[in-house]
Formats: sequence, C-alpha cells, structure tokens
Amino acid sequence: MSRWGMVIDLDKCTACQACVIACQIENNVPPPNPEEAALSRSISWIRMVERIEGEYPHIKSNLMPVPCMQCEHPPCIKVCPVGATNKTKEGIVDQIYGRCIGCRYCANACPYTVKSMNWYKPAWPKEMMNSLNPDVTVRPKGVVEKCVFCAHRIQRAKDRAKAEKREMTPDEYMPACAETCPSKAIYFGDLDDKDSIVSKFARSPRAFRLLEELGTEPNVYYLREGA
Amino acid sequence: MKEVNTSIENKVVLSVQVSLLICFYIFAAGVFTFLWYAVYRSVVENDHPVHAVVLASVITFAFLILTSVVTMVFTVVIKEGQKKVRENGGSVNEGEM
Amino acid sequence: MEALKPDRGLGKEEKVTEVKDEILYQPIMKTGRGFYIVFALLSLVVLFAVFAYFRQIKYGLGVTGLNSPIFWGVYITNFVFFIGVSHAGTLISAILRISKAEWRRSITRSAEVITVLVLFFGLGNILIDLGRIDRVMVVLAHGRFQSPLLWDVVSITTYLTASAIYLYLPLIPDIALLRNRIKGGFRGPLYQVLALGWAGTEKQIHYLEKGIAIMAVTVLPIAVSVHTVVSYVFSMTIQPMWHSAIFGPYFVAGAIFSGIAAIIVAMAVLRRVYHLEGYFREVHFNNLGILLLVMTCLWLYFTFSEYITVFYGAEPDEIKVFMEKFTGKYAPHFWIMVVTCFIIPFTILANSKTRTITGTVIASISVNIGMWLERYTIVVPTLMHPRLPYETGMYSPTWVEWSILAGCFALFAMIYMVFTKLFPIVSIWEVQEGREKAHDEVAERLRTYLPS
Repeated sequence: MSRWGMVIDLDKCTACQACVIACQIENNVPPPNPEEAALSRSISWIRMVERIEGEYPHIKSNLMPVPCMQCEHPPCIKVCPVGATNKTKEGIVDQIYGRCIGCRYCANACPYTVKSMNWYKPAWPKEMMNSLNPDVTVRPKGVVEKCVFCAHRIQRAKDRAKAEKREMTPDEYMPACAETCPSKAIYFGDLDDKDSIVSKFARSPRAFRLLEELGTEPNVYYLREGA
Repeated sequence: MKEVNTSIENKVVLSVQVSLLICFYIFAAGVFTFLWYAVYRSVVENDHPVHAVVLASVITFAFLILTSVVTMVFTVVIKEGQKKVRENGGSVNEGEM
Repeated sequence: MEALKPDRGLGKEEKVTEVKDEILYQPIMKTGRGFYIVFALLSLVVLFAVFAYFRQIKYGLGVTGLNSPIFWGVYITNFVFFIGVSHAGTLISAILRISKAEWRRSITRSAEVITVLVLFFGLGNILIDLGRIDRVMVVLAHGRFQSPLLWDVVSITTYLTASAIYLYLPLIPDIALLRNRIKGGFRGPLYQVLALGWAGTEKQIHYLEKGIAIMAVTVLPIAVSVHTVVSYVFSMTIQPMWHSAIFGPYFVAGAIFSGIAAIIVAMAVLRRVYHLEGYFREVHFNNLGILLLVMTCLWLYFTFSEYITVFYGAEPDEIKVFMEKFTGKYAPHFWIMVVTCFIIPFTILANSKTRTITGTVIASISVNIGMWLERYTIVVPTLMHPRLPYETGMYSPTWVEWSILAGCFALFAMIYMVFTKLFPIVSIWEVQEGREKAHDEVAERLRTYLPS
C-alpha cells in the first residue's frame, strides 16, 4: 500500500505561488472576494507562509508553501465527532463534505492551521463557472475543507490504468501543485517505496518537518535552504 | 352518573401517567441504542473502541440508576394513589367527590 | 405528617396553618399587569434573535464575525457559560440536601429550575454554532466517541435527564397541593396527571424521599463530569493555553461560581416581584454570599495557577497568547474579568456589613459578567495565535451573535416566568416539613455531636 508524501525543496522554491493558483483551479476553491479577504476568510488549500527574522534593514524573509501535512497521527481526526475527516489506507487525510456538520473542531485542533471553512456558499464570477473541475465536488456552505493531495487524481490514474489493463504506476498521480511548480521544487511520491525520490529526499540531512515536537508525524518534508 | 364520569376521568388520568413512564423508558432505550450502536460501529471500523466501550458503560450505568429511581417512585406513588381512590370512592382526597 | 397530606383547600376551619404559605400560591392564582408587560418586552427580544438566526441559516455562518483562524467565538462562549450556570441547582439542592443544611428548603426549587432550563440554552448554542444544523442527526448515526464533543453530547444528555428528574420528584407533593385547589381550565387536568395520585401516604413519602436521596447523590458526579468534559473540548487539543491539565477542575469551580451567582440574582428578582421576603431572607443571601466568597477565592487561585505556570514556563507559543490577554488586544476583556470576578465580589462579600441582599446581588451580577468574559478570553486569544505564522486580525462579533445572546437570556427569563405561573417557585411542602420537623431533628443531631 502506498503512503503518499511530499518533499518541498526550499532552495528551489521561488515563492511564486503558482502552486496556490493551480490548487485553486484544480480543486474548485472559490476565489476570495475583497470583503471576505479583509475579514481573513479566504480559502486556500496550500498557502505561502512568511516568517520574518531580524529587524529592518537586515531582515531575512523565509517563505514556504504549506499544504496539509497529511499527518500520520492527525490531531484533526481525533476530534471530529462524525468521522467527516478520516485517514485513507494510502495515508491521505480525507474530508467527506457530505458528512461534515461544520462544527470546526478539526480546524481548531490542527496545529498547522490548514483547514478552511465555507462561511458562505462558495461563489464564482459567472465567467469562471465554466472552468470548474468536474472531478472535484463543489462544497456547500457550512462545511470544512482542506488539501487532500488532489485525491481525485488517484481515481483518474487508477481508472486509466484499468482501461489499459495494467497497474497504476506511482508517477501517474501527482497533485496539481507538484505538477505546476515551475522550478520543480515540489516532489511527490510513495514514501514507503525506498527507491522513490521522496523517500530518498526524506532521508536527506537537509530534511525537516514542521512542528515535529508535537508528534503528528507529517508526511510533508521540507529541504532546508542554503545547502 | 357522576361516579361513572369520575371513574372514566380517573382511567384517563391513570393512562396518561403510565404513558409518561413509558415515554421515559422509550427515551432511555433510545439512549442505550445510540450508545451501543456507537460501540458496535467503533469495533467494526476499528476506530478506538475503548473510548466507546468505557463511555457507553458509564452512561448505561448512570441511566440504569435513573430508570430505577423513576420506576420506583412512579409505580409506588401511582399504585398508592389508585388505592386511595378506591378507598375514598373516586378521589384521592378524603371527603371529596 | 401534616405537610405532605393533601391540602384541604380554603374554606375549612383549620386553615390557619394553610394560610401561612398562602403567598406561595399567589403567583399561580393571580397574574399582574407587570408580568404581561415584561413578558411582551422579552418576547420582542426573542423575536429579534430568531430573525438574526434565520439570517444565519439563509446566508451561512459568514454573518457572524468568525473567520480563519478564529473559528469559534461568541456561540461557544455562550455554550460553556450556560452549561456553567447549570451547576446552580446541583450545588444548592444536592449538596445542601446531603449535608442536611436546613436553610436550603426555600431555595432548592428556584435553583433546580435554573439548572434544567439553562442546559437547553447551552445545547442550543452548540446547535446554533454548527455550519450544518440540518445534519445534526449525523452525530447520532455516525458519532465517534474518540471526540470530546461526543463526550459532551452524552454527558449533557445524562445531566439534563438527571436534573429534570431531580426537579420533578420534589415537585410531586406540591403539584398535589395545587391539584386540590385548582380543578378547572387546562391546569386542573395537568396537575391531576403530574401529581401521580399523590396522597401523602406513608409508603409514598418513604419511597419519594428515598428517590430524592438517591438522585441527590447520583446527580453530583454527573454534574462534575458535565463541565469537566466541556473543558476537555479545549484541553484535549494541543493548542497553546488550551492544552492545560487544570482545565477540568478550573471549569467545574467556575461553573459552581457562576451557578451560585445566578441563583442569587434569580432569588432577588423573585423576592421582589412575588413578595417572598419571608422565604428568601437575609440569612439565605448571606449564606449564599459566603459560598460565593469562597468560590471567588478559589477562582482566583485557579486562575493565578494557570497564568503563572504559563508565564514562568515562557514557552514561546503560549507566551504569545498570554501577552495577548495581559497587554494585547484582549487585555480589556481580561482585566475587566479580573475586576468583576474577584475584586468586586471579594470587597463586597468579605465584609459582613456590605454582604447585604443588595450587596450580594451586585456581586453576583458582576460575577456573571466576569465569567462570560472568562470563557471568551479562553476561547478567542488561543485561536488568534496559531503555531505557524498566519495572517490574523481581531474577532469582532456581529449583531447576529449579540442578538442571539440577548435572545437566550430573554427566552430563559420567559420560560422561567411561565414556570412560576404553573408551579410554586418555593417548595411548599419542604418549608412546611422544615417548620414541623426540622427543629427536633436538628436538636437530636446536636445531641449526637456534643458530649453528654
């Protein structure tokens, strides 16, 4: 069974946010409107997190893309009262919009703050309605959503492989962010496969994970800058 | 005639009282059903069954105490009340009709 | 025993004993204009709250001030606050009954009613907070007991059932008294049914008192568990200043604290509008005031422990939240909470000269405001400071949230008022029992304590 994981090379990441846009288009994430953005309600499944060190003019700005960490021990799953967020056998922390009652407990429990809530019914400008991705559910109002490593693409890859009467190979499935990144900073693959590139990078001395001390065991690794 | 009326009235009142008790039983049964169904689901899906078993046991125990108390009080008070009605010929209080 | 025997009603010669507690029947027999006016005004508030909620149903939770990452706000604060106030009945009724404190006799009923009613509002606020209230049955069909919210669901249901039973059992003899007075209208049959055929026989008395005694003991651990599991909703996460071992006892102590304050306010209002000066006397307010004084000191102790631990440990994620409360955007809320939860009540209640009825009522109102602020400053500042850097602003509750809070208070008051019109708000039979038997019982007890 695969354990899907991601490695993000911070040396290669230019913080261009193409991954953010790609994710938005792929997953039918509603574009933020100015009033809601001012209230800090924009939905973003992957977001660019900035940490500034030092004082002006000697500041160092660290930017890193943060998707859902797809933890091995997710704090969000522990607290969901109805099992709307759960872990698939392939290691993805899933979100069932049809079961979510919108209590936002998972959003509060996540230490990485990767969950978003649909405060209103998601709306797109009329012209954009034609470009919605038919593979991805459009969420109703009142439910929580988050990055699921574009899990709908696994189904597509499996279906294609089945039609061609063969098994799916791991490199047939890649989330939109990894596919789009212009500098190829995002690697994606099976962490349980010792020969995969993510597996090798995860064992690199530059590799680290966010908030490791909390014991959540994220499946998203970062490679330190300034090698 | 008046005796028949009060007798019917008494029966209606008695049946409402008994149905209150039955409603409580139905409610308690609903609680037990919810609890142990949740235990069953957690075992079948292997989703932390220990939490479910512990909680279901504690709450079942609490509700058994509550049900016993309600049963005890309701049955004694209603039965004694009915005895008094028969003694006084129609009403719970003496010298009334 | 005279007290539990059916009341023969007015018109008999020996009505001297019965007339003594006649004023307790007055709210049920007569309704003044003041009642209708207050009821009408409160219903306006409730209607506005219902309108606010319909807007929320129509448009979504966006009509509140909630945002990412502050996902919880006024509704969850209300939930914790109302569940906290529900400890009123338990403390007074159960603990004082078990400890055989005779002064509890006239106040148990009003306290027990607060408990049963306010639990509905606690539950109601959680439902109002849900993004998809139409899916609430999913909790029953797919509930997971690993989640502290499910512990809440079962615990509060059990407590609601237990307190309803605990309210009803001592109410039975009083309903019988009313049954003998009021035969017509819709109340006559209501009392006939609910009195369960009470006739004051030996057997009935024996089993009722046994039932009440069992309930008094049973309801205590249930009540402690209720607010403990409410606190576990916060402390079982790993968020800074939520993940604290002290939350269980802290919330229970805070609940008893706000519960006593609620009873004092309710008693003061009832005393004024129903002229119950004979039953809610200075001594009751004085004793409750002393209990409130003890609880305010306990509150200070727990709060101090919580904050000094965070400050001394100086863990970066926790210190951010701490500073937000001490000197940041939530400093006004935090310091007003300290003043209203400790400084005002302590200064009023510590001095017996100021521990009058007016004094205790002022202290209680102050405590209730402070405890609401305490819940608010527990919920929001932690959410404002996620561990990872996040663009966050302040949480400003909107008119929708404030209307619903006002509506909760108004609807609670309205239902309480209706209760006082249907059932005696002072337990008539217990007061009569106290008058007849308490003196000898207490004298007998004293004889067993003191050397001969």
